[in-house]
Amino acid sequence: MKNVRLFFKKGGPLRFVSHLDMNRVMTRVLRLSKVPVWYTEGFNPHPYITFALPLSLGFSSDYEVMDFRLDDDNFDMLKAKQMIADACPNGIEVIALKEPKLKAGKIAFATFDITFLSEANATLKTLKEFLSAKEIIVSKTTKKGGVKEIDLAKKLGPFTLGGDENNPKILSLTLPAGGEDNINPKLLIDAYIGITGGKRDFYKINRTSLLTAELNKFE
Amino acid sequence: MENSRLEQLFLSVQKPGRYSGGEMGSVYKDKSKVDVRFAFCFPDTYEIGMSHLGMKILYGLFNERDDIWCERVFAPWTDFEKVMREENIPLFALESRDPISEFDFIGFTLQYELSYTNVLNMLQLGGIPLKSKDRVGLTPLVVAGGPCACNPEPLADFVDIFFLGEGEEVDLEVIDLYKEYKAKGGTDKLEFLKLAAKIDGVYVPALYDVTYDAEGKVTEYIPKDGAPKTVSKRVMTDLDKAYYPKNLPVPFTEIVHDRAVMEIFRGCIRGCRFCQAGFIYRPVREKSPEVINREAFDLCQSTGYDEMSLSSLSTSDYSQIEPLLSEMIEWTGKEKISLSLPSLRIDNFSPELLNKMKLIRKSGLTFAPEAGTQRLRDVINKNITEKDIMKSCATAFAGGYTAVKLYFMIGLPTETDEDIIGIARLGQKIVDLYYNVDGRPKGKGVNVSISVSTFVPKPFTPFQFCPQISEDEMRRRQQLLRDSITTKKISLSWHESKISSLEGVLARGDRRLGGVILKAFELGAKMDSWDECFDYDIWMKAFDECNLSPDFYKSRERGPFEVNPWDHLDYGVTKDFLLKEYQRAKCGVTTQNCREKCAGCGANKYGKGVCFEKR
Ligand code: SF4
Repeated sequence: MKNVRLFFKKGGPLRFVSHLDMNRVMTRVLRLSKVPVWYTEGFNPHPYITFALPLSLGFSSDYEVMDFRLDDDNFDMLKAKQMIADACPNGIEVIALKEPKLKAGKIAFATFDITFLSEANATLKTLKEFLSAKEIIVSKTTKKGGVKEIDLAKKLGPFTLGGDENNPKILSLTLPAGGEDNINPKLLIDAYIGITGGKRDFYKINRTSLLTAELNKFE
Repeated sequence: MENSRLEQLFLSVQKPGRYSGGEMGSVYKDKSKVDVRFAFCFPDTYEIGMSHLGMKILYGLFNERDDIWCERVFAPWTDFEKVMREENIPLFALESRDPISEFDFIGFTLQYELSYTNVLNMLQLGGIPLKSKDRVGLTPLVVAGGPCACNPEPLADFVDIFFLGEGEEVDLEVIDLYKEYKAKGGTDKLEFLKLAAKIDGVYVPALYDVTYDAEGKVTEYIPKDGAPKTVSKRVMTDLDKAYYPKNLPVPFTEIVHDRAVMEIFRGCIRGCRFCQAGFIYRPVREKSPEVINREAFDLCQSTGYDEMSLSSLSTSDYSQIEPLLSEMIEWTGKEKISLSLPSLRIDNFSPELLNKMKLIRKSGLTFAPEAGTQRLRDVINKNITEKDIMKSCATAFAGGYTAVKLYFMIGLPTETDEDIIGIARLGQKIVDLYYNVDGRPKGKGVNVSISVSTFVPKPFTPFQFCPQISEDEMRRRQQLLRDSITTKKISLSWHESKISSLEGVLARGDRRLGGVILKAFELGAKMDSWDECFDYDIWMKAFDECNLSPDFYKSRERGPFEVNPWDHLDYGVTKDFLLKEYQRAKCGVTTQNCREKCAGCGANKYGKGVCFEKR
């Protein structure tokens, strides 16, 4: 038995599939691929799948990381990668299959690209102003169900803005991610849209990468 | 609407995966390269529709043909419906996202009467005139099939063509006729409908005039323009040769039943007198174990499902259950597929098979006595005795079970208070039994859950002549049952009796109910099978405004000579047989099942199935 790590892109119809449902989808993909996957024992055997960091419903991602176990230690990894790629539905694109380097707990940041549709009423000017403010106070529901106020200005890493004034603007930013501190970019963007008076939900979020505390790619 | 905008709108509602499509196994074609586009509509949510086997069979069958593209359409939940109306998004098919108005056929499957307002809502959301007579062009043709098509009259105003019985052949015959008609340059809807009505199993309601007497009872169905006097249902005579899908659309998101389903036979030998499915799918026709195992294996291979269940009205009645299971357990075990066999009676299994069965996850212990006393069980011809139940429970308790689920109906013909109290008594006996079984799980209590539904008389059953009890009486009997249960070890649940009441009216309704359904829909009725959406007052108002009384449809005894709104449809079982069974019911006389002795229901005319087995 050996632990392996699958890297893939998630988009298309898979954008509407929740983290919980992804487990089911990938279980089927592994089964269809016929790769010798290690299964749990019992009446309901299933592969042992874990995702490095959940992805919110509605987000696409260029860098999803999923761990599972191979039953056959010597199975050719390139071949396995291809078999899995062939079994994936439209919307999942396999990038690599490797042995894991780091534990999932090492994830400290995630990077995102945010594209605004016209309904969002976003302009480069207001975005710049909003993101450069000294304080960006939003309320966030805590795990215990309470609400607390946080200052996103303190959490926000470097950002860049693309596109011109009239075309969809692409905002690239870095936010804390993982078990320690996790900031959903929706918090930030919804706060911004609240100011512009644009229509909520009219922006797309793509998670572009997962990084360690040293800002190295998580692998 | 532009896809990226539409997709952002999906994200503004609950469960966006219901609307996005693109599942594995869903079929995409180039619309410019097909001749016929078919929008297969399930008038309920995605999660319910996608759990339905019949839809998947027809989806696969249609799409096997290069000239047809069949797509799926479901009723949007109320949150997305609101968005659709605000943003002017017409109801679209999941695959192409094209509005259903662009399709040649819009086909509904009618699984329960309470979905009728959803049919209207879906047509309206698609921008399609609701009434058949207001759709003047040839397309879209609105067609419908499924069990409720056995009394299609309440929807007669809205649907152009009903398919009676099993759809595999007749649907394609109508599609072929349509292709041919169009190729010849035909554009006249009525002309096409007249041609279609010549096909066996096709019922075109517009080709029949109905007359009523002063009371409102139907007196006659008068066929016009060469339409047949009676329309017969279609039956697949050889299930081994019938199409079975090799692949299915497999949802990404969670649905009600998410697993590979293998059909093993159609029909039921039992003849429980309340059960419509037990009569309209006659005669029993089985698939052979070899075909079942092969098709099931292929299905698991192509879908990636790790769970499979068998589908039929009563798995234990499959004549070759031993050879079937013994092979199935082998290969599913090897493939790590968990097999679920709900409510399978294993009393007569060989020791070898029982041994193999140990490898299968045990499902819950369930029984459907349906009635609380043997007298009433004889009336409804439910062949299960208290002794059977006690024996199975004792074995199960000794084997570690601590929970039993029992299904009952209230409001059955001839039911007395004694029968109601009998339900509580049976539950109590099972509780007592538990504490007397040696080897029961130590230190654990027992839970007997009793689920009660309301009896609804249905067409083509011996009880089609019966009155349905009033809501007040229903409530009194429910209270009586509640009062008769004295232990916390028994838990009780039921269905909303008002919903059953409406179901009863629609099930045996006539054409005039079209007006009531339309009125109720205009007043806001939809998703009527959902407790949170159902609004009885709306329906009562609709009946009032149409000057019709629900009691006329549900609360009176129908005489043997009365013309029922479905009497011109032929589902194999004869009215004489149903009357005879009704008489026997009243006398508490049971009827043997089809394997023991043919009761002469009439379904042997199809020339196949259990009627011709050696007894
Ligand atoms: S004809 Fe006889 S055997 Fe055949 S379905 Fe009817 S009762 Fe059963």
